[in-house]
Amino acid sequence: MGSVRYLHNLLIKREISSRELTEKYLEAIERDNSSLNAFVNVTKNQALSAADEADKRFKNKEDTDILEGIPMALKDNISTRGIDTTCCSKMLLGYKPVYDATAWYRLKEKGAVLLGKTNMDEFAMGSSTENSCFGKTSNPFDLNRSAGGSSGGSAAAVAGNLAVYALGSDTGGSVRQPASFCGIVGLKPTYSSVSRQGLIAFASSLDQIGTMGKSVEDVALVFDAVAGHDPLDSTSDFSYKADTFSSLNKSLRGRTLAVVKEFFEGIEPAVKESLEKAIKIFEELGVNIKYCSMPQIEYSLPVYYILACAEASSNLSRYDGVRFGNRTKEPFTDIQEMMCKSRSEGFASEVKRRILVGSFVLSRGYYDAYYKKAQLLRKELVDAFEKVLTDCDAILTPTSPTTAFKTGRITEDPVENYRADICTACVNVAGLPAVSVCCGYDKKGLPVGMQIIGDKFCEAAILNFAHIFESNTDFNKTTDWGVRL
Amino acid sequence: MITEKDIKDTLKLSCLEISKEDMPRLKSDMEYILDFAQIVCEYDFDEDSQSEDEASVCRLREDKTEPSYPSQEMLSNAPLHKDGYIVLRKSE
Repeated sequence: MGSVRYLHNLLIKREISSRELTEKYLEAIERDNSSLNAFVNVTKNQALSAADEADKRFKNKEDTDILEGIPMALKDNISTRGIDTTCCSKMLLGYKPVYDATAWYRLKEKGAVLLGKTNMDEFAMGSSTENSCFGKTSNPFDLNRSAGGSSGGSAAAVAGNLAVYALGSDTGGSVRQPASFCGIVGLKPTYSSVSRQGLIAFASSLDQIGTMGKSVEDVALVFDAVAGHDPLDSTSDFSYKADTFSSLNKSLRGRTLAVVKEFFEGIEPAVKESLEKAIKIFEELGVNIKYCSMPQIEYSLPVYYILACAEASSNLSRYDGVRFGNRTKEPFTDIQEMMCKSRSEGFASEVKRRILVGSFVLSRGYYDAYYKKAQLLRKELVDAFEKVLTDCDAILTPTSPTTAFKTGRITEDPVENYRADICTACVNVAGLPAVSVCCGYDKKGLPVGMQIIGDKFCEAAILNFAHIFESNTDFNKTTDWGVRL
Repeated sequence: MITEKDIKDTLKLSCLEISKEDMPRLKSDMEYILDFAQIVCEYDFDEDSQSEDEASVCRLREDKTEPSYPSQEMLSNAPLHKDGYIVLRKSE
């Protein structure tokens, strides 16, 4: 049974109150967050107030949602009305949105208790949660290692038992890779299945809000709560109605998983070993394994970075120091200089780098060679995935080629960090859903993540695969941090 | 190969500035990244497989007016505001 259902039963039976539960988590955050740095903003008063409201409803035996009164966390690029939402950037320090993101609003309506906002790479640009103006987040399994990124704070909060579940955002792997590094479950849903309204934009054709939890069941429950059409997001799918929880326990017998060889090239031996064992487990569960090739994968990461940087350069042009955000205190002679100084002060180096790359590939003389070609190649990647998924129910890959790496690595080549996204970014390019679930540990005890990629709007299928795997294995190591249930 | 002039032009387009000391590092970083992306430029599309950009199916909601967000709350995020306006220093 997942943590959400377990706690819901305790709350319904009044064996614990939401206030008591929330206080436990707040105490744990106060004790452990200085080591993990998962949270950048703890919303103690709001959390206790929401918990008290939940307790009133439990006491009055009102109809309560399964998520009622459960403490959770939000990545700090998800807008929360009246609560600082900074994207962990100097550019947005002190910024308080005037609206809630739809995904958060839906959870709030169901009685979710927000413990606080979690750390991330600035504007979601990074794979290690080291590019944050609030400092790095540490991995609960090893404080000298990265929790992954950019949703590293959310992943560390869940893995460190400082929140029952969390929302993150995933543009190129930013929910799945930290989930893999921290040994938890992370779902990046189909593009358009979860509203992006209120998610501070990085790359609008790639961004999706994702759910993170200790178990597939928790992730499924939260996804079902946040997914569905939103009239405030014009890219939101009109007809999708998520119901993944009810099909988690379906038998996998006779289903087919594709293993694409390109995803297994250049991965760490421990990752390869865990994935090979996972394949055997699926075979024992009656799943057919089909080996195939997708040579187009070689292009997925460069395509991703061209498109993501191009879209970021456009999305981040709104940060000009006029209506909100950092405005320079340095002297300036005109508005252009004011904007330039404000932006240069507000953004750190990785963000500036990506804006510059994006502006470059969109500029005259380079647009056709880079951006237009990347868009055409994107279509080829979409078609390649479609072709493979015609003959199988899902695709199995490692989530990351490595386990959690050490923080503070210095490299001359910025692209070295980008290569961490090799297994995940292609999924965003194709707009498909994918879930990461723990499938083993390396010799140092660090979690290994396995990714299951499905066809569009097939979250139920991939979560079914993940849940049955999880139920038949024992890769649920909990860390010594936080609240023990 | 990206030149310093390319970078300066791109900085202007992006409304960003960097110091002279940071320019060599930025140039090196951009070269690494664009070199990485070069494989896309070199990809050979078949004449037949090239497709026009498909029009995105983006169904818009009905165009009806609704109250906007409270302006005082929005103004509170501006670095400087007065009497309902965002204040910017007049250019000289």
